[in-house]
Amino acid sequence: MKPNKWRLLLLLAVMMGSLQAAAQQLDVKSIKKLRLSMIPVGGLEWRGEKTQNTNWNKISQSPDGRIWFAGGDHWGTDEVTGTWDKGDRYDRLWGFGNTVLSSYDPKTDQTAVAVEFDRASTIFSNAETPGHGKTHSDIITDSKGRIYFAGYLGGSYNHEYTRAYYPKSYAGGAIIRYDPTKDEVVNFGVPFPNGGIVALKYDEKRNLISGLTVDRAKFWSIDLTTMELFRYESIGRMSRVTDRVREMIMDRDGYCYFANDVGGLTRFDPDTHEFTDIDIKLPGKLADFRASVVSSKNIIYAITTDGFVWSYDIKRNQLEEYGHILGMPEQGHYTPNIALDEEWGRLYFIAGNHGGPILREALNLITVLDLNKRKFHWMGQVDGLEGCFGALVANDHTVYFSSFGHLYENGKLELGRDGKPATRPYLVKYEPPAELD
Amino acid sequence: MIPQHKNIAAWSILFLLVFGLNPGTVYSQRVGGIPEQSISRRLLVSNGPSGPIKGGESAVTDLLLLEDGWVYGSTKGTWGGVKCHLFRTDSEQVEHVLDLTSKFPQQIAITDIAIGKGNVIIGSTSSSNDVFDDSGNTYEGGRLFSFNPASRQLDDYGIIAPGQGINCITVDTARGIVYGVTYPAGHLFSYTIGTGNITDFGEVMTPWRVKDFGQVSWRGVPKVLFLDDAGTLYYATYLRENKGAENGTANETGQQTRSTLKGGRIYRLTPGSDTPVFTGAVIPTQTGMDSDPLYENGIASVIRAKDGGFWCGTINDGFLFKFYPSTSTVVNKGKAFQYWNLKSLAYGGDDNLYMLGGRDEDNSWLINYNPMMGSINTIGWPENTAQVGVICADKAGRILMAENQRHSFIWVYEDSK
Repeated sequence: MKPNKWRLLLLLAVMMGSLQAAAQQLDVKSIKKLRLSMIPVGGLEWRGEKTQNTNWNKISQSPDGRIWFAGGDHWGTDEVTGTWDKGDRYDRLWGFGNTVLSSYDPKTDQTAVAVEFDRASTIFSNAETPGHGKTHSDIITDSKGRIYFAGYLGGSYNHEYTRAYYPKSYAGGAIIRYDPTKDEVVNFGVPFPNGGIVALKYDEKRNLISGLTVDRAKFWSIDLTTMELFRYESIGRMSRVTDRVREMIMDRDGYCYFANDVGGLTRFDPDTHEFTDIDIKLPGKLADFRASVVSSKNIIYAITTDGFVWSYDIKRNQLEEYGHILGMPEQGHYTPNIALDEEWGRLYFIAGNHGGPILREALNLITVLDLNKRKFHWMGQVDGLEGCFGALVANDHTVYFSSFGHLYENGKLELGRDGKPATRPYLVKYEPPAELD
Repeated sequence: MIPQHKNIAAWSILFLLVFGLNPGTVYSQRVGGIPEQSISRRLLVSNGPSGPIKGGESAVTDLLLLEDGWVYGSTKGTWGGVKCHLFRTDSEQVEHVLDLTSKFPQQIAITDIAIGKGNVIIGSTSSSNDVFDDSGNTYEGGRLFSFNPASRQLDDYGIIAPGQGINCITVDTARGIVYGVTYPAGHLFSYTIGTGNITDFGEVMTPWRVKDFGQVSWRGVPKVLFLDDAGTLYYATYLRENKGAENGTANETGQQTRSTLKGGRIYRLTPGSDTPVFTGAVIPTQTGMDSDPLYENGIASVIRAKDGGFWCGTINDGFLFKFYPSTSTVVNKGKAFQYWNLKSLAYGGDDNLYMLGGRDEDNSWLINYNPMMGSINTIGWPENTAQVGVICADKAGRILMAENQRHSFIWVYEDSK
């Protein structure tokens, strides 16, 4: 019968594709080096020097084509970076722990500083009250081009428990909206006192913003129309992951998803405030997601903390596995970013430092997954890069990675006051080939 | 002078002594974490989407060690979960025992369990706050039941008050009487096993409705009941007094009255009596706060002490105190730094009194009190995302800490053996 034959062929094709992905394995000796364009974050200069140091956030593109990204000085309870010491905290008011929201316009190749987080959230940061030393969540743009972001401080979880003050008195991650057309800042406040924010999602239809706290993985939502705050339990915890949870998913309909303690996904209904477990098993030992993206067809694409790529078709309730990002299932490979090019049928990743086991030889490796052929392509290692936490594919297929590491500008490595290479936050711009094979 | 490399060696040894011998504390846990080596197991109560205990059905409400050596636990449905269960654990594994909602479809929470005569479990049930907050709800009312783990026989004692859940119970095994408090109405009642006779002693607390971060609940309803050897029942609640105001504006009746609520008053009900009376004992609270109408003064947890008294933990302040029924004496033992709501108590195998302090649906800390030394020691929490709601000692004296989350863990704390 014809229908059966077609089904069989389709099944064979999927199986072949799966076998191809499973059969692939990275040859570390063949990895190329890439020197890519780096677009640094501006602002946060003090005494004539840049204090910019870090970047741990997702990025987004607004309807006018600008890419919104951020950089922080990383001054927090865990670290004072650069050539400064802790004594400088007393002099650098409005600056001890601060982050800048910036935009990059691909049309003009220009960046612009939009706002400083501390001033935007009226946190007077100084030695005793540190500010938002970085942002660790999504930067979101809505259909009107308004930007939503949240604050974070390294080591902030210490005072989530103890509520101790000096020297650990971080007020908590504030939720802020910036409207570039009016240069208007709205501070919605701190949903969890003392807690830094990781993951931030905006449901424009319901005007509901949601996120997680850093260490306790507490899920919360704010109805921005009524300013009603909802707090839930530690639903975002992924107890198999020893590192802190930093990720949640929101689909096109405003439903949120979390990796749960039985190895599947839990869905949150924003209308009923109810959670439901979906009967699927995520791949890998950790069975989680460390980075995710949702397609226009409401398909979730994600990668686990140990490097397994999967997708979940919400409508069809179907999980698909694409294999391990290096073809080495036993080798954890921390990859906290993912970008989807729907038109070209591709996913992009860069493995990075800080957060999980990694194959050192494959650090900073740009990897492309051809979704149609289910085939990985390892494009090369980005020179200077240390970590990358957000990525997106722009309308012209250019891929932007929200990164930090050593900075090359016009082919020259930037050095700090001490003569050593400085660590800076920047966008990495990658123009992929139209043909991969 | 010591050569530099010897200095390095000396510092290395010192570093190892300080940090190396306790790596779990230093590297794997956040501030406040219990050292990892003190926790031998983490047992998942939930079985996932295939059940029998699904996500949202594993929030543990109570734990009880029975003579068969198993610790039995009860659950409630949370955040969309619509079933409650009985399970048991030997600290090595968790076994499902009973899907109670399949027997009593409207019951989504087992609120309390106690030991009845013959090593049976006596339990009470309730519904969700959302149901109670719906004026048009058709909830049948909380039930009392008994379950015999040996024969697996379930006996339904019936509904106590239509539309009302049951907040807590205690069992007078000698007289075959179950005492309980309804929720949210706050009525004290008794149920006589055998005759099925129900007595309503009336409202013992007018609860106040609170909406906290989008969630409705009722506060002030007594959370625990306890009995002495003579069968006298005790609980803490509010005393309402209506006084004529000395310098007030007269109302329609010609006299202004002022109603005051005085919280944390310990009441007793003697067997055969119809009316609870104030014992004269007041639980410890911050000075001046006992008469605050919105400051929840009450007893969160009780366990019998070895000298005939009762160890109690308070709700809002987290004071540990001992109550002696024979003299109505309260002895305040103080509180652990920063922690409040001593919501669960258990004796460890080391004879220390273990306590759980923290908000009801939040991260809680394990604390212990050494009765010989009179000292309180804050031990910590098992994991940064843990939300422990109840503790219990197993047959080996280990402390089991059970969560009240959608996918709850039970943590086995070993140092109490």
